[in-house]
Amino acid sequence: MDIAGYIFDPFEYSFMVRALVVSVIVSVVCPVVGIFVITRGYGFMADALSHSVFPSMVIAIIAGLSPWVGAIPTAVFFAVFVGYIVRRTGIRSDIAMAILFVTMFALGVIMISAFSSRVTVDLEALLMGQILGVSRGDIVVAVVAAGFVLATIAALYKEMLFVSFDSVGAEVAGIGTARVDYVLLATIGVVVVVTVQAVGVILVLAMLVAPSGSAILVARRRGLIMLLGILFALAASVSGLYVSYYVNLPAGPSMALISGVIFGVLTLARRRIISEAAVLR
Amino acid sequence: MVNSDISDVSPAILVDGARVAYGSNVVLDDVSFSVPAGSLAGIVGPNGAGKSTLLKVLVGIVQLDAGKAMLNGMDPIKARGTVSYIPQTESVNWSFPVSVYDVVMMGRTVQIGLFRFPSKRDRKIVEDALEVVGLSHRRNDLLSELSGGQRQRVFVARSLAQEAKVLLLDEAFSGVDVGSQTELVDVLRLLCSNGCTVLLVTHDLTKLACSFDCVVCLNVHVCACGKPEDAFTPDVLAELYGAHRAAFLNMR
Repeated sequence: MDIAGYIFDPFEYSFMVRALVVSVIVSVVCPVVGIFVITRGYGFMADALSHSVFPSMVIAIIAGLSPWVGAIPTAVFFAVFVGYIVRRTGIRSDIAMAILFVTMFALGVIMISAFSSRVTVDLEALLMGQILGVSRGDIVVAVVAAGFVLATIAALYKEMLFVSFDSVGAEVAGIGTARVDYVLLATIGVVVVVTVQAVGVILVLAMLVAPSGSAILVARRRGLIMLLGILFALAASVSGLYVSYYVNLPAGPSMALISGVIFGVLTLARRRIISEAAVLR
Repeated sequence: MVNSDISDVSPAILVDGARVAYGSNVVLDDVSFSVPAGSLAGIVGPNGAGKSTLLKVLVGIVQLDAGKAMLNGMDPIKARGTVSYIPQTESVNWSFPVSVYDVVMMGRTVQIGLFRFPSKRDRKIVEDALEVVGLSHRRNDLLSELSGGQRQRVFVARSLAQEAKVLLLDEAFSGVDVGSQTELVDVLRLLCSNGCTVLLVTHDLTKLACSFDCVVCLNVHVCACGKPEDAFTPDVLAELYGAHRAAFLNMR
């Protein structure tokens, strides 16, 4: 088989095409909000959010609905709720989030167990992603959700810039910083849910934080950081799909692993570049 | 209580009997002073004197336990939008990448309005503001690449673009070398000549304090208030800086 065959063969299967579409969607929206997640220090919050959404997905499945039905409203609710906790308690919010995070996660696992006689919930799919199993309906929801995220960020971009850079200055200049932050958090919540579809509850940060984190290592301008973040996310998600197809490994963890490897390689390369620059000086 | 001798019919900034306490810790005690419109005023005092708290009162982040604070006849929350606040360097999110142009355009955010993009006029205002502070040639640079003095001038350009009536600067001189401090004061003077009232907080009591129209010497209460040459008496400096006053005596 020639190289083109290796590249295109997997996509003769419609489930692989659907997986590719979701990969591209996730790879575009994650770095767009990822730069805010990283520079605002929302990484842990995003992780807490993905775990908090877990029981609502379980409830939706038990009720015979799509997990989306439960996940999107809960994600938006918890994003705003966690934002409120951060505003009210400041640094102690870490503890509140950690407790929320494990309690909700435990609730989800217990519900799966309690209802196991009636409904079989694929725990592994929820935790590690089920990108090879997405339906056409899932894609429609992902496209709509991603469109909402991109439109929201574009519409409030200048407000989000001001608030992210200088929150007090923005407040005094007459911007409702609390409202801007809640909208930003809600979009992060929606992105978390879309990403859960691809890599599962546990691995969300692999797509939401790692590609942007890699980009920040090598770029300093916002536009370039977003662009490189998208490229790194695409590299991780698409090659993760190939790995799962040819080596028969789970797709979500493969994507997360490659995303982490990109970050690790860039960290080492950057250190080397910096130390060489120091020698030259 | 030392009364201000710079009273005006309608002062741009008016603080009257202001008191702030965190529990039993009194941070501001019966603070009264006023700043006439279009003047360049400074609040000087040692660390822990309540200077930043006073600015936070004026921008409505800290609430008064007693007394009142007014900006152009409005309470601080109502005055938002007409006021521009340049925070201490540490309270800005430096990990967020922004260019010089981005920061000045932030000043236009409210005027541009929700869900809208900058118009030709907004871009012209931003370019003009950069021109005024002498940083047009750095417009595409990242703010983090600039020196302390240049950064402060970018923030001043942001206030210019915002067309603010009152500009409040917290620790404006920290991390700014003496030469750049002079440049900064020159730019602030320009704002004042356009009718903007500027109030600047500093613990770095340099010779520049003498170029202010009025100073408020603050150490929990107002030790002195008025023209710099009147306010900085040896007694006041002793009250502000104790044993270190010798360093400042030559200022008079």
